[in-house]
Formats: sequence, C-alpha cells, structure tokens
Amino acid sequence: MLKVEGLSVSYGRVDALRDASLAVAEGELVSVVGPNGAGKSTLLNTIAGRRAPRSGSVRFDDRPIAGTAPERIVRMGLGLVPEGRHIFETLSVGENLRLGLLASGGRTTSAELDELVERRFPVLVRYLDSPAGRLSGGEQQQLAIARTMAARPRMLLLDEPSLGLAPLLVDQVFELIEQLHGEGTSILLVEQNARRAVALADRSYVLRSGRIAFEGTRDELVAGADRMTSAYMGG
Amino acid sequence: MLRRLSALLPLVALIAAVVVIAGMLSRSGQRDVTTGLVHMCIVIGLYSFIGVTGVFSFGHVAFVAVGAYVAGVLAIPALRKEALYEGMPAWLAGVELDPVLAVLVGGVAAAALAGLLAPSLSRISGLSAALATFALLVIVQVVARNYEPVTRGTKGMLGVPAETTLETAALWAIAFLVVVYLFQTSRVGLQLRAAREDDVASKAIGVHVGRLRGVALVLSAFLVGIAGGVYGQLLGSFNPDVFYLDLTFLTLAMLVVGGMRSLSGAVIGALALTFLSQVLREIESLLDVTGLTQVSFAVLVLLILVLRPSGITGGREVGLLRRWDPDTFEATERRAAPLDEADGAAQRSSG
Amino acid sequence: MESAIQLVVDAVSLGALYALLALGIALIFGIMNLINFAHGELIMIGGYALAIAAATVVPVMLVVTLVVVVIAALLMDRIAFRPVRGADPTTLLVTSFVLGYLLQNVAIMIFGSLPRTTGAGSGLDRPIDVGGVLVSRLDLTVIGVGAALIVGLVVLIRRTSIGIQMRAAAEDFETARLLGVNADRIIAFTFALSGLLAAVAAFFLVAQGGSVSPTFGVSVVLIAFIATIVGGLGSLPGAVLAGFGLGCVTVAFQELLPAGLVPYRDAFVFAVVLLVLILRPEGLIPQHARATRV
Repeated sequence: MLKVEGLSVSYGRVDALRDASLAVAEGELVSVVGPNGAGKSTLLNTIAGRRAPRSGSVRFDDRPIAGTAPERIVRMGLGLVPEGRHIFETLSVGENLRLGLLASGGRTTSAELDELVERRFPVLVRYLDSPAGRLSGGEQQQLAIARTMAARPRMLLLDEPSLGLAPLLVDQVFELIEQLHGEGTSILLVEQNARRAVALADRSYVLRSGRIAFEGTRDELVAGADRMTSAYMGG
Repeated sequence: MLRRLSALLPLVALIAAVVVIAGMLSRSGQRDVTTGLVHMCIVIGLYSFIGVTGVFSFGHVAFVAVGAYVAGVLAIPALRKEALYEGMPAWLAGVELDPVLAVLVGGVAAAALAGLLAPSLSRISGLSAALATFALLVIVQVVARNYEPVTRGTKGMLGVPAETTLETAALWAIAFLVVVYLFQTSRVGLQLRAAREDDVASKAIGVHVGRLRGVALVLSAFLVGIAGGVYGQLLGSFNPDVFYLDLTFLTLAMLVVGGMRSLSGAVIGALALTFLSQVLREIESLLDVTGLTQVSFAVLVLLILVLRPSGITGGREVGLLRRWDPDTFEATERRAAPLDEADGAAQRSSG
Repeated sequence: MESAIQLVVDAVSLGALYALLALGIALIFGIMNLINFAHGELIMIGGYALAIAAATVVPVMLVVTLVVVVIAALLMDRIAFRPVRGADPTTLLVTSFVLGYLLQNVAIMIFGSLPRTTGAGSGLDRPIDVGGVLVSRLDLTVIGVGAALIVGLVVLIRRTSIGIQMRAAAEDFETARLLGVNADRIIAFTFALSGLLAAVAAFFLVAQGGSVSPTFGVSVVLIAFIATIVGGLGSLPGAVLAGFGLGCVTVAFQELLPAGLVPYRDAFVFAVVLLVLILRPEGLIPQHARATRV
C-alpha cells in the first residue's frame, strides 16, 4: 500500500534521511523505532507531504506522492497525526473533529463521526463544546487521533503518540492503536517506546542516523533481540 | 583600532573612485553624484538600525526631515529668515549658525526625537515597531506641512545655504562608514546582531534587547539627521514632499538591493541604484513616460525580494579580510595579521 | 460646538470605519503573518473604480467597484505574495510596502498625481433629523453597514465550515493542511474578504472626501496598522475594539483641540497610542501563545 524507496531528505546541509526504504502492506501495523534525531519524524513528515525529498520516491496505492501538497495527500486516504499533537487550542473539541470531517471530503457523515467518537474516544464526548486547549495531554492525544480518523484515512501515520504521556495513558493509546489496527486500518507507527511498539507491530524497522539499520517481523525481532538492540544503539 | 578600520579600505576606495570619476562629469552630473552620496549617507544610517537590529523601519526619513529642517532653519542667514519666514519666533529668526554646526544640531534634534520614541518602540514586537515607524513618517510629514511659521508648510523651506559639495558629501559618507563600522563591531553592536539572529536565545543570556534597540535607534537617527542637514544644504530649498514616500522607498530599495545585513550592502546598493536611476531617467525623458523610474525600481526590488532577498552582497561584507575556507567554501572573517613579527610583538606588548 | 448626539454618531461611525480597515489588515495577518501595506492601494483602486463607474446607476457602480477590488486582491495574492509565502514577517512587510509603492506609481502614470473629484456617494450628503438633531446620513450608513459586516464576519468565522478552516489555519497553518485545508484556497478566500472590506471602506472614504488620488490609501492604511497593533497583532476582536477606540479618541481630539492644533490631531492620537503601547505592549487582546516567554 505504501512504498518508500531510497528516500533522502535534507535540511539545508544536514542530511536527515539517507536512502531509506520501507513498505507497509494493506492492513499491516508497521513500527519505526530509533534513537532521538534518527530521522523518524522527518520520514513521516515527508510521506505526509510536509517536506519534499532530495531524492527517492514515495508511492501510495502505487501512485507517486513525494512532494505533493499535504492537503491532497490527506484526501487520498493517508492521515498523519503529527508529533506533539498540534490540536487547535482556540477551537472547540467539536470543531477540531469537524475539521477532520471536512477533510474526509464527504466520505464521513456527521452521524458516523459521532458514532466513532462515542465508541472509540468516549472521553471526548463531555468536552465537545470546550476549547481544546483545556484538555489534558492524554485527552489531547486522543483528540488528535480522533480528528485524523474522522477523515477516514485508509492508512494512519502516527508520530510518537505516547510522547509526554503518563504510563496509564500510554497504555490507553497503545490499546487504541491495537483496536484501530484490528478494524483494518493500516498503520505506520513511529515510536520512542521501542519495546511496546515492536511488540505490537507486525513488522518493525530500526532507523539510526537517517538510515534503516534493521528490519524484521515480530517473531524475527523477538528471536534476534540483541541484534536489534545493537542496531538501535549502534554497535 | 586602526587595523580594524582597514577592513573599510575597499569601500573607501570605492567612494574615492566615484569622486574622481564624477570630477570628469558636467556640473549637473556632479550634482547627481553628490545627491547619490548623500543618499548613501542616509542608507548607511538606515543600515545602522535595520541591518544591526533586524527591525525594519519606514520612519527614518522622518529623522532625515527633522535634520534637514532644523539644520536649515539654523543655517539660513537671519536677514533672509526675517524676509521670508513670517511668523517665525524672533529668537529662532535671529539665530545663524555655521552650516556644519547646524547640521550637527539637526542630527541631535533627530536623535532627541528618537529618544522620545525609544521607550515605546523598544517594548513592542519588531513587526509592530516597523509599523509604528511608518506612523512617525506620516506624523512628521503632517507637522512639516502645517507648521508654517518655521517650515513654510507646503511652500517649502527656502534659502538654505548651499554648502554641500561632491567632496564634503564623500567625506561625510566615509565618516558615517567609520562610525557605523565601529558601532556594529562594538559590544552593543554585537549583542544586537546576536539578538537579530535569535531573539529568544539572546534574552536568555541577559541581553536587554529592547534597551539596545533604543540605542541603535538614537544613533541611527542622529546619523540620518545629519544626512538630512547635509541634504538640505545641497538642495537649498525643499518642501515636505521631499522627505516622504519617494525618499523612503528609494533608501529602502538601496538597502534591500545592496543587502540589508551588511554595511557593504548599504554602500553598494546606493551606488548601484544611483547609477541605475540616471539610466532610467534618460529613458524616461526619451519615451516621455513619467514615473517609469519609480515603477522600474519597485519591480526590481520585488524581484530581489523574491529571488535573492539577501541582496547583492548576500549579507556579507566586502573586504580584504575575507578568506575562503577551502573545505566548505564558506567565507570566514579573520583578524588582520600583523604586517611582520616585530610589529605584532610591539602591538602585543603595548596592548 | 456639536451636540452630544452628533459627537457620538461621529465617533461611532469613524470607529466603524477604522474597525473595517483594521479587520482588512488583521484577517490577512492572522492567516499568513503578512501585514499588507498594499491594502491602502486596494482602497485606492476602489476609489478610482468608483470615480469611473460613478456615471452609471448606483447599484452597478457598487457591484463594479466590489468586483474590481476583489479581483485586484486575488491578483495581489497570486502574483506578488505567493512567491514569498513562508518568508519571515519582515520580508513580507517590505514586499507589501514595495508593492503598494508600485501600485501608487502606476496610478500616477495612468491618472496623474492630482486628486480626481467624484460625486460617488454624494447622495448621502443630506442630513437626517433625529429627535431634533441633524445627523449625517453618511455616518448612519457607515454605522449600519459596518455593524452588518462585522456581524457577518463573526457568523462566517464562528459558524461556517470555511470559518473553522480559517481559524485553524490562523492558529497553525501547517497542521491545518494535514487536515485537508487547502492552503491556496483559504488564503485566496481571505484576500477576497479583505478586498470586500477595502471596497466598502473606499466607498465611504470617497463619499466623505469627494475625491481620490494615487496616494489616497496611504494615510488611511496607517490607521489600520495602528489599530491592528493596539488591538494585538492577529486578533480580530482586538482590531475591532481598537478601531472603535481610535475613532472615539480621534473625534475627542477633534472636538477638544484648539483650532490651531487641529491639523495635528493625528499626531496627538499617535501620542496616545504610544502611551498605550508602553503600558500594554502586547496590545488590547493579544493573540494567545504567539510569543515565546524567556
């Protein structure tokens, strides 16, 4: 479904990503882990259209999308929940969600959105009319995911969803990811919390200093845990 | 300090060359070059604020106006003032200063005005300050147009002794270069330039950005005020319109085209556009299209802003003391090397 | 000496006009960090459109002016500002200043630099009797139209889908795009709105002054800037509040200053503004979370 090949991205003279390649098949949950500064966010941001790569290609449903405007990529069915949540604090929770609805281009109806929120994000129901800035960190993360889900993406890009959250909330987030995966959404998950991400994902990649250092299925990774660790740490 | 100043040699040489070449031109040609040099003074003064603090100002021509009118009034012979300026307060009409002194007083007056505004301007954001300076431009214009007893309103100031020559304009320009160079390499100047790059980081290490900005404002106002006095003494007579949008645009264009972030940019931009305006004026009269110069300049500046916002010099200084780092092709500034070992040793022991 | 009612009407109507001007600036700033100096030239273009179209029937004149100004605003966005989108606010500001200057001089090339009189809107000259006091019909029209526009804007921004998109884009443009907000379209829409406000302002200014000139928009846009700064950069309610405040202060000075000082009225208003800024540099209703605290 998503194929990234030989992607290289630079910020000025600094290379953030070098020749990175990965793939996510339909229905898969793939995680990308790696130390700080490895280029994980750059990877997701480039796929989502926020940055243009220096070289390489990104294909979604076999259509090249590298360098396409983010608002068009969303409409194709690829939704990014950016690092740090970035909810619109001056808008109400309901308005944040409505934006997602608008992004779906009519594919999601208002009723479907209500149902989605009640079922998967019940904690938000109470705050629908409150300014989103009033929510706690965990609730904001839920809102960020709900908002992107409202746009009915076929594939979800999650950038460090557990960042800055208390352990209980981290559990909730991972549960949510598992549920979404169970419903058939393809997910590309970037995470600092490597252990949980790898345990959850069908396949994982290790990104270090802009390069893919390791790749494997859950079983392969469990078996070769020390190889993965050294790839992560840079042995 | 003399060695530091030697960095200015290329620019000084450039100005000297311009004077020499201008000497071969007709009288009107020389006058145009002189005007260009006065404009250069204004742009250098403008740079000492905009280039050093990173805050934009549309109002410096207001300071030019203050300098021009104050210096003008003080330099006009008393008899002429009695004849031409009805309603001028007697004490003012009686004063008659040496032209150079009058120019300096004009600079001080402009600096005083800047000092009044500095507390407000230093507290608001850079963008708001830029807009506030535009307000200043309009307000000074309104005052100049209405304060008839002293300025003669829209009829204009008349009778200012025409003291400015090609050589004096060039000398002023060189003096300005020295002052601004010393300023931008001084402690205050360096702090401001650091704050220009990263406002937050500078505040975090205790740089009082607002206060320093005020210092830069007062200094730059002093300089352009002097330039205004010199300009007034070149023109001999002028009305408020001379110090409004056209001059504001012209000096900004010179700075932007030359490169806002470097002193060399001020000089080069002024020279480039002065030359260009000569060419355009010829074309204008040939084609009989008024306003072509302004429109062409505006288009030029827009192109620069879109294609090369850092201007001709790209924010770098021109000088003998630039060395190209072969690994990165980045120009780095290095300190002047001692002429020979003995000299260096002597410097060190006396330092 | 004007009666109290006349003064109040003057103040509110001037305030409404200033508020409309400030909104034109604040809308664009909110969404793309651009202070549009050339907004004054949009008003100037509106003024010339009115002068030229004044020969026709009033509804035609108004529609033509509106269309011309909105198109000018859209062209401004497409040709001049899109290439520099994303640059720092100072570069954007300078670009708009140069653009404004360019348009002024093009107008000089076409129309000459002398003011051009026009009778557009002169039908509003006759005063109306309100409880025994004569009040300017034009003033009342400004108040009415101004209020309607402000209310309309509020409804648009708070209740409609495109309003939500505008607010999201104003708060966080990058993330708004991740949620499908079309960058080009939302910016163009905002420019069109700004053009609408400029056209309305142009009509009132021409009706009041009776003439238009190439530098028509310069001192007008100044008030808009001041109101925007005082109101808090990017804050729409702040711009409206500051606009009304400035209108009241201006009328107050106009009334209270001795005759000799009246031409310097704006200088006094400016002095008051500076004082306000010393006390409250971030403006009356500052945009939340824009500045980084050190």
